[in-house]
Order: sequence, then C-alpha cells, then structure tokens
Amino acid sequence: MTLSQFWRRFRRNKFAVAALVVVILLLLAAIFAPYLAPHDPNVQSLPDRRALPGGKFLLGADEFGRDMLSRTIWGARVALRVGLIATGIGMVGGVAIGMIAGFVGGWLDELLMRIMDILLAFPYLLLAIAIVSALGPGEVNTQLAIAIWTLPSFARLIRGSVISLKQREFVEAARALGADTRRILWRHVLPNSISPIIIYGTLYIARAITMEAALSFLGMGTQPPTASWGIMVSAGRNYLRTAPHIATIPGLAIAITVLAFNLLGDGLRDALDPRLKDA
Amino acid sequence: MQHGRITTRFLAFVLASAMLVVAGCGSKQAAPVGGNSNEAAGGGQPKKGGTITVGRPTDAISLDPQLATTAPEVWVYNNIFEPLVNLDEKMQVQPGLAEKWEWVGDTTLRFHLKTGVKFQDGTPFNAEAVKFTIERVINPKKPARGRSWLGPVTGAKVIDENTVDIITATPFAPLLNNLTMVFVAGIVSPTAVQKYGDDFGRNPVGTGPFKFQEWKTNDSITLARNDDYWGSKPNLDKVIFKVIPEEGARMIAFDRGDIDFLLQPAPSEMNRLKSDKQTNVVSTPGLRILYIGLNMQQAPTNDKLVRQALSHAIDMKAINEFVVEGQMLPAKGIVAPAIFGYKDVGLEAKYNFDVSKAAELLKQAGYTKGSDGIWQKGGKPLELSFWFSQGRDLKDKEIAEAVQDQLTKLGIKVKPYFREWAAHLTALAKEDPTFNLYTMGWVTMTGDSDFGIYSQFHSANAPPAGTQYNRYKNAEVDRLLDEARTSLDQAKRKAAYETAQELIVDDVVWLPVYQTQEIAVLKNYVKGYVGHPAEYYVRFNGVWLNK
Repeated sequence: MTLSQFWRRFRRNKFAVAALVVVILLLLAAIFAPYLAPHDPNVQSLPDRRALPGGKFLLGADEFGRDMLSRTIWGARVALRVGLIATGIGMVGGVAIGMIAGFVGGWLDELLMRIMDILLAFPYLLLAIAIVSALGPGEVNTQLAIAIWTLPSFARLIRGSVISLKQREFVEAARALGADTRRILWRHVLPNSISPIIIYGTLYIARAITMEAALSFLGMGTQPPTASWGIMVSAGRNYLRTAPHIATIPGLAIAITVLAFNLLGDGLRDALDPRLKDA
Repeated sequence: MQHGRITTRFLAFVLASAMLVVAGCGSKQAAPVGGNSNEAAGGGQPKKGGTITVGRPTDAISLDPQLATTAPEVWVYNNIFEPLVNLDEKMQVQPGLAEKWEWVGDTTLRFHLKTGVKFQDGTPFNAEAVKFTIERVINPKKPARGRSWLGPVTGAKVIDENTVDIITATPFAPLLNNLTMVFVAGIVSPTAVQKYGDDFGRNPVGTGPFKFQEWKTNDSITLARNDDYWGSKPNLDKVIFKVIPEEGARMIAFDRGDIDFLLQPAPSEMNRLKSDKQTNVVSTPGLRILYIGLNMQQAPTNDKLVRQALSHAIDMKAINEFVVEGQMLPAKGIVAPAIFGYKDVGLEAKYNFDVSKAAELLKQAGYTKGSDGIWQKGGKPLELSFWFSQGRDLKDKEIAEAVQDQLTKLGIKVKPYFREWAAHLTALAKEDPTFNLYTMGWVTMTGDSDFGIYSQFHSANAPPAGTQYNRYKNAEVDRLLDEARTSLDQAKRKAAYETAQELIVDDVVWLPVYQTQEIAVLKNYVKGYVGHPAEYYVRFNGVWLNK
C-alpha cells in the first residue's frame, strides 16, 4: 500500500482525522510547553490558591495557587513522554521477544511465552504498583513499570504473526535462496507485521497515559511538584465541591488525550487492514 | 479486554467530576453566618433516654484495651472501660476508680480504690481486679499493645481489698499519667476475661457508664446504658458507633441526620459546617504537634548553621494560613502548652521567617550562591532530601510541597520522596537513612513531657530502639530527660524539661508547624458534650439529646 493510498483510506474516517489533529496539537503543546505556558507551572502563590477560572489565571489556580493552564500544558509533556517512551520500550522488547519465540520455536518459545503469560496473569495495575514499589516512585520507574506491563501483549501479537508468516511461500523462497535468520526476520517478517504493531502501539500509548495518570493519582508515579495530570486530579478531588476546576481540567485533558489516541488507533486499523477493501 | 477497564474507569471519574461541576453551579447557597462553636455543653435540664449515632471511618479490630489501641477501638471502649485515674480537660490527673494515691518509696505507687464498684457483669471491682489487669498488660508471654507505656513496672501487689501497690524496678515518674490511658490500663473484669478467653475483645466487660451490647462487623457497635454505674448515671439509652468509610458518604449521612455525631469530619467542609445552624462544631486545642524533622546525622543538616538557616527559611505563618486554612493552631513548641513541663521558648521569634537571615547563616556555613541561583559549597549544590507521606495528619503532604516550593525559591534544592504511611515509617526507622527532612506528627497523650520529649529527643530512643527519627544526640539533653524520668519531685522534673526544651530548640531539631485541634461535629440537639484535648477521648456519660 502506498502512502497516498493509505491516506485516502485514513481520510474517510472523520473521527480519526480529528483525533490525528488533536494528537498533533498535543505533541506541539508538549514540545513547546516552555514557550506556551503563561506561568512557571511549579511556582506557588499561596494567596491565590483555588482561584476560579478567569481573572489572573485563565483556567484558574490549583490548591497552591499555581496556574492551572501552565500545569495542564506541562502535564501534556509528562503524559506524552511517559506514553511514548513506555510504549516504545514495551514495543521494542515485546517485538524482539515475540519474533525470536515465534521464529525459533521449540523450548525457547515455550519458555519465553510462559514468562509472558505470568506477566499477563497479574492484574495490570497491581503489577505496575509492585514494580514501582520495588524500584521506588518517579517518572523513569513509572515508564519502566508500564513498559514491562505492555511487553507481553506485543510479544504475543508478534509471535502469532511470525508463526503464520514463516510458513508462507515468500519466506520459504528467501530461505531457499540462502538468506539467514536475521535477514529473514528483518527484511521479510518484520515489515509484514508492521501494521498490527503500529495499531497496537497507538492504542497502548493511550493506555500508558491512563496508567501513568493512575499511578500518579495513587502517589506512585510522577512526583510533585512536577505537573502530571494524575497528580492534579488526585489533589483536586478534595476540592470538588469548592473548586471543581482543579480536578476537572486535568481530568478532561486525560479523557481527550486517551480518546484521541484510541480513535487514531481505530482509524489506523481501518486504513491499514488489507482485508478492508477500498469501497 | 482487561486493560480497557482502566480507561473506562478514568472516563467515568472525569464524567462524574464534570457532573459535580454542573451540580455545584446550581447550589451556591448563601450560607448564614453564625458563631456557634462551643455551646454544645450548655442548654438546660438534661433529658433521659434516646439513642445517639456516631459516624466514624473504620471499624474496631477488637474491644480489648490490652489488644487494640487505635482510635476506632478506643472511641468505643473508652465508654466501657475506665482507668484508675483520669485526665480532665485541663490535662490534670483526677480520681476515677482510685480515690487517692501516693508514692510509697521511689518504686511503689499505692492506690486507694473506690468501694462498692461493680463490673458490668456483676463481678466486684477490687484490688485483685487491678492486679489482674496490670499483670495482663505486662504478661511477658503475651504483652499488651500498650506494654511499653508501663516502662519498668514489674507487677502489682494487693495490700487489702481496696488498696493496691503498683511496683516498678526503677523510679518511673510518668507512671501515674501513663496509667490514665484507657488503652494501657483500662481495668478489665477478671471473670469475663477468664470466661471468654480470646473472645474477650468481642465481649468486653468493664466498669464504665455504657456496656457492650452488639457488634455487627464493619457496620456498627451498639452500647447500652449501664444502670448500675457507680458515678453520675448516663442519660442516653444507647450509643451506636457506625462505620462509614467514605468521607463523602459520612458527610451526607450527617447532613441527612442518619448520624448525630461525626468524628474526623472532612476538612474542606468545615467552613460550611461551622456556618450551619443545625450543627455544632466543638473544637478543643489538641496535643499533637505536626513538625518537619531534621536528620542530625546526615549532611548537610548535620551542620547547625544550615539547620538555623532552615529555621528562618520557611514561612510557617503562610503555611498555617493558606495551606492548613487556619484549621489548626500555630505550634508554640515541641509539645503542646497543656503538657506538664511545657515551656514557652518564644518559638515564633526564634524561628521567624527572615530570608536575609537565612542567607547570612548559609554564608557563614560556607555556602555561596552560584550563577544558577542555587547555594553551593565546594562545587556541590545545597540539596535536601525530603521524605513525606499523606493523609496521616491534616495537609501533611501539602505542607511538604509548600515547604519545597519556599526552599526552592531561596535557592535550596529539594528532592521530594513520597511514600505511603507504613512505608514512610519503615524507611525512617532504617539504619542510616539518607533523608534530611521529614514530616511527622507526635501526640503527647499522657499530658506528661516524658512521652513527648523523652521519646522524641533522647538518644536512647533512636531507631531501632524507638521513634527518635532525628537521630538527635545531646548528652546534656539526655541527662536532663533521664533525671526527669526518674525523679519524683515534680518541680525538679519541670525545671529539667524546661531546660531541655531550650537546648532542643536552640539545636534546631524540629521545625514545628501546627498544634492540632480535636474537632467533633454534632447536631445542635446533642447537648452536654465536652471536648477533650486528648485524641480518642470521646465519652458519652454527660451527653443528652434535646429532641
């Protein structure tokens, strides 16, 4: 499928296009946060605490008098950084494990997949909490915990597609022509499994973002005063009756971001799935 | 797919909060302003009868005072059991089951008991029962949770039916005050303990104004009036302690009138409750001090000049006003003023917020301000590791965050480290921990400085032996605290505590933030309730309902 073909199919899904725009805007916000944010996101101004939106602060101030707008923009940075890095690590690791297990087969396949099953068997949040408890809280460890959690899903996905691919004629042909395993994996198997990886990756970015928010909400993820949407929601829930904007704004940011990545993933799936014909 | 659930839950939360915003816009009621803080005590001739329902967040573990010692239990069994002597609202020791007492020599405290008192099961209360209880507390095979409060106590001796001696191995001055704690030495019925064995905690029998009636686990505990009570008879027929774990649900239950008496109210709702005419808020200055502790062994807080700089670098006034929202009292020392041995050392003036003084002290300590605005010495930035937790004390985490911000603004780097409460305690107790600052609260429930100052500043009580997380070591302070612990001369003890406080404050071991207020929220028809400074101390003998 050429790029223009892909784009033509992707474009048909209006939601996906809107989601793509949102994701691009979020990325821009995250990259240019220092220039976009009107205030320092971490400097407190106690007398302005819980200021309502409007006036001095466009989106109000939080419980320490920090600018909500600036914190929300900087929060996008944390969310996307954790989402992209964690999913990236999980994807690379999972793909490597899945390819080796699927292609080599035998006892190695058994061993690797049973380890993946063990990881999958854990309740997802509990696994992340256990990892963070062992390593200590913080953004890097949160990324690692989320990466470990995403790893088995990618491994299983890729293993399945490798097993079906390795029996196909073009792989047989490559082998008959004397290509070694590495070349076959890199040049033939991986490119043919790339669409599910991309789709899965996009969906998992959304999940990683919620996971980071959840861990931060529980106090185990990103540490204060860094602006993380999860922390902001967590702090704001004490003031739902008096200053509802503190929890609601980051809550909406999480919802919009997760929705955008999910819709984008759906759009990619529809556009990349060869079984869905051009109508 | 299982992973999808987290997304769903978050979206649900966001939706719920959004709805609340909408709901909140419609209900901006203009609350009537009225001062009605402490009038619950007054109000005419007490009426007999009725049932009061108390709301609290957690169920009891056991109602055996020698087994379970946290608030959810003590709130309940403080009405079933009584200690030999009581602390009144001014933290003075008053007669209870014992009418008189005296020290007979350095190591024997003699009690003369009230006659004609019976346990709720009819067993007579006498010297044997006291001996039984004391020996149950110090039983080496199965010591009570509150065993350590009795220090060097070795046993009790029956002199006659109504006279009993409590004997210690070495002189132990705080003994009388420690015996006022119902969760240390609430007197239990020996017959009931023998009858129920391990189930005594589910069938508690004491001498108090209310007797145990029913316990529905995780739902409610019901107490009924003890008609044979030896003191002034209680008015209420029943007291029901209900468990409502969720703060919001507890507030709603109170608003609806399902509960009449609320323990641990939501801080953010206090202003609304105070202005509500149907509600009385009884606030009593408490005994707990929330403080920021300094590690005396770990660089750079092992440097007295750095500690002194910190004592001028934090704006406690702003923290108390804006973060704690004025709900607590600014701390005036390392123990609360009501404690025996307290001295006003002029904390506010000694640790006044003065940025230039802090900078001056840092310069003296050899620090210079780098081009990045951060203080440094020998090329290394001034960095403090700050360990804190959340939810154990009002706004503990928020205070830590505000302090972090204030220090950062002054060019002191702060590395925050958050842990949940149990992990926080474990980490602080570890060998050679690397923190510089930590948050903690300490309550001197006995009303005697021994429990507040000895336990928190004597070097013998540093981990692993005890809870002196500062690792403070001052030979003179140790000597004074030992002297105050073993001397039975109250004037001498007081003087020793006063000098110790001067030294400790001079060394800058704690940066005290606030002194608690004990807050009970009651419906305005609940009369006769008197607030008590000690946490856990909720007694219903004098309470009656005007409805």
